[in-house]
Amino acid sequence: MNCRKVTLVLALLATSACGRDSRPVLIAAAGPWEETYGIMNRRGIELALAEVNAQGGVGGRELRMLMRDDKGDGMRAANIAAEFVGNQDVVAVVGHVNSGAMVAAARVYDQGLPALSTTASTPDLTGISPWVFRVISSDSVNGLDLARYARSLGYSRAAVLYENNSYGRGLADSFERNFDGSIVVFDPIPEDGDSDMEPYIAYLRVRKPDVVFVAGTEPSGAALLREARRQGLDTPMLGSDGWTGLVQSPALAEGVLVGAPFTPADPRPDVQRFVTAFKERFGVAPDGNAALAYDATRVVARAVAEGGASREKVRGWLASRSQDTAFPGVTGPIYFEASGDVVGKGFVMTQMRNGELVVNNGGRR
Amino acid sequence: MSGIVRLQSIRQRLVLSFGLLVALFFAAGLAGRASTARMSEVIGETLASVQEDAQLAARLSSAVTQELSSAQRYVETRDSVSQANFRRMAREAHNAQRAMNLHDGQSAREVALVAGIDAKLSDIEVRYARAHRLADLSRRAEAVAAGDAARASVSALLEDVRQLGMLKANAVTDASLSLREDVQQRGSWMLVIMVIAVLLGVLVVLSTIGWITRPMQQLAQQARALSAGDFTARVQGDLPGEFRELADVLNGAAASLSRVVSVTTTTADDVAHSARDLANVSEQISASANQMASSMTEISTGAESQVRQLRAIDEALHAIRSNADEVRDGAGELTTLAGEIEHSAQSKRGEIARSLGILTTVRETVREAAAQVDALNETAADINKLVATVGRIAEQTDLLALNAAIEAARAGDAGRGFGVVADEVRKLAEQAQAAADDVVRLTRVVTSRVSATTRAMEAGVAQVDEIEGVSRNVDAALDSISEAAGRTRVAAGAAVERAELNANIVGSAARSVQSVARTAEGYAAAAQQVSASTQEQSAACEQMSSASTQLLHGSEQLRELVGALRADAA
Repeated sequence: MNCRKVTLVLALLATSACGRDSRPVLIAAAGPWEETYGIMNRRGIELALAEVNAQGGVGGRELRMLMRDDKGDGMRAANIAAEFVGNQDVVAVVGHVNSGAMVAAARVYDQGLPALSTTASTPDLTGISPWVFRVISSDSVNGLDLARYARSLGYSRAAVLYENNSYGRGLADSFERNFDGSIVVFDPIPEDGDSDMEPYIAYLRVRKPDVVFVAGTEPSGAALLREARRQGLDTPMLGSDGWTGLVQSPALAEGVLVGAPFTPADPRPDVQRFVTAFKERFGVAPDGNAALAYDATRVVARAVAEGGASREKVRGWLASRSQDTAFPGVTGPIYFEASGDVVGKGFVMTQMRNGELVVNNGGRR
Repeated sequence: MSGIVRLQSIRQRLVLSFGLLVALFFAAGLAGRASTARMSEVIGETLASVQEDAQLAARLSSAVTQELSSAQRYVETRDSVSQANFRRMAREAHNAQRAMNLHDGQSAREVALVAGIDAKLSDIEVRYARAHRLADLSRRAEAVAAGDAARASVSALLEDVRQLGMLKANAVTDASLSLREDVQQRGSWMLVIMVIAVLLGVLVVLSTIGWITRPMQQLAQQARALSAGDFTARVQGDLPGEFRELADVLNGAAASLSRVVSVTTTTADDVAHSARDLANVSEQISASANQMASSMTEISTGAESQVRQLRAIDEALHAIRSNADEVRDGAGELTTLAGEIEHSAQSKRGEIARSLGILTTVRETVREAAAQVDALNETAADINKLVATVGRIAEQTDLLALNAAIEAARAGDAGRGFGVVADEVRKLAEQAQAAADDVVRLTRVVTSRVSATTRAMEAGVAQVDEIEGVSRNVDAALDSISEAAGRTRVAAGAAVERAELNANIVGSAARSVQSVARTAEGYAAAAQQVSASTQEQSAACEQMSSASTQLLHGSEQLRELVGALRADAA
């Protein structure tokens, strides 16, 4: 029940139940806030928070956010998670962003703090803890989608480059497992954008695959694309949700294929309203990271408002979502399997055209 | 404890208390058993977890070592086996690391360390991958340099692995410490339960002793009071069921003894009263006997005076006879006078005959009195018989009291009271016997006195017989006077003066005879007095009889009570 409405309707009641507890409700968020995809995540969170509080908060109480930067690092993430669990005012966590960080933090949240990851898609998270949920689909699903998509484009020899972390390995394994062709290269690459990518690209030029699938994020992607451009490698490049941030580097990324959990080109009114608001607030269009973070934050806010401002109640509300009571997110309806994985969401296959991800295969699968 | 739960008997209290104790020990045993089972479970789980942790750590360590050596070898030799091994072992190392991460009971420090190992290993793998591609591209110098760069990070990684091993070792130590603490805690709890059980046991024993001692003392006091002869003492207050029964029995015994004493006292009073009555009756009998004796003395005195008067008559008539002798010489003129004398003598004879009849009546009266006295004797004999019966009852009572005393002695301390009672009863019986003996003695005195009276009266009757004999002699004398007068009238009728003188003499004789008649009347009155006395004696005897009946009744009550006493003792 919306308490605000009750107060409006029963205006004569000077003291309503809503007025009794006006302390803010505290939730927490953690991610690599300085990375491009981290920034997009944070923007999604901020927009959702602003909208929730503008509409009266949760149950008449202001929703506040405690932000911590884990730099995508598992060790930091675990320590931050321990801090969140120890702070009894924190009723839920939005995040983490990275798969490796989330895997490390999940073991801490297992002590009894509900966490809703935005973009951690590694299969390792499936069923890791009853307290851990995510709004992005698992890479075991995403890898399958991408492998089929690559095959559908007629590619039979694929090279796989992956960031040597939980996200990259999970997605690469899933792709390798599901690709109905030959994998000619299967190399780990550095996560950062400063490392030397030259030997990988030089080797790809020798091996000449039909397509290069990169299971990584925007920094390593940008470095890789830069090196490919330098060496004149024109093999088609395919990335996953980690590459949606490449819209920030339109020159480098022109033409790359991206399997994305979200596209601002989605015509649904909710999505367009979100895209408009996001553009108004931050001056750029939202990507998958922003959309998933936006959805995750709004799901947690709804859980606090409808379930109650306690860890157990938030977890109970999240776990009890079903197809009928799913949360209508901009990335699709959100409800969870018993393993904590989100149900029934797939990727939109897009191509980078002039700094935008354009739907490449006729829309949502 | 008795303040909380009020139990009615020692048995209930003991059963409940020991039941509680047994339950406590059972609970302690169960708790110990459960504790042991739980401990072995926990130890098993902990050991399994530690073992799994150790295996994973070993797996990780071994995979990392093999992976890195394969990677290095590929840089040097470029053989495909090393490449395959590198990838296989990399996967294995990451799987081991992921398994460790998913393993339950990891501390945040361990999670962070595992994440750090993952990051460092990933970094080294990336460096080796680059070295391998350089080697593949036949840029050997660069490949070796890249391999060396990769190897430089290995020591940091191995340091992390070593730290993880130390953490696991510490975790094992902590686990064993916590297990030991758990064991000690459970042991302490067991000890506490045991101590509580022991304390409860001591409490039960002490409170039961206290619970038994107080009523025991009360009962002992009651028994002492009973043996001291105080039958009014009663055991009061709240007692355990078994003691309550005993106390009720003692109270009942005291009550019935008290009743016996009360009834015995009344009966003794009755006996005393009856004895007093008997004494009075005896005195009355004695007085009556005295009266009878004096009456008999009067009879005796009357008889003596009759004798004297008749002697005077005899003398007077002797004088008449001498005078007649003188007259006989006189003349015939005395004949008429003689005829008159004869006539007069005849009439005197009639009067004497009448007085004889009166005497006979007196004798009959005396005989009747004697018969009454005999009857009195018989009554006295009856009293003796009754008293003898009382005596026998008293003897039996004595005998029964003796038996009761023996039974009481056999019953021991508890019978001490009954022994005293039996002794009291025996004393009462002896008193009754003595009273009965007194009655017998008194009755004998009365009987002997009555016999003496009877003998006196019989002597009186003999004397009356003698008087009758004298009177008959007087009659004979008068007859001869009449004859003499006839002869005088025939032979001497001359001496008229003398005849007149004779007439005077005869007149005085007549007066004497009248006096005899009056004396006889005194006899009659005395006889009547004897009769009245006898009647009084009879009434006194009836009183004595009723007193004896009361005595008998009292004795019967006494015997009844003594009989009940024996029934109680049995």
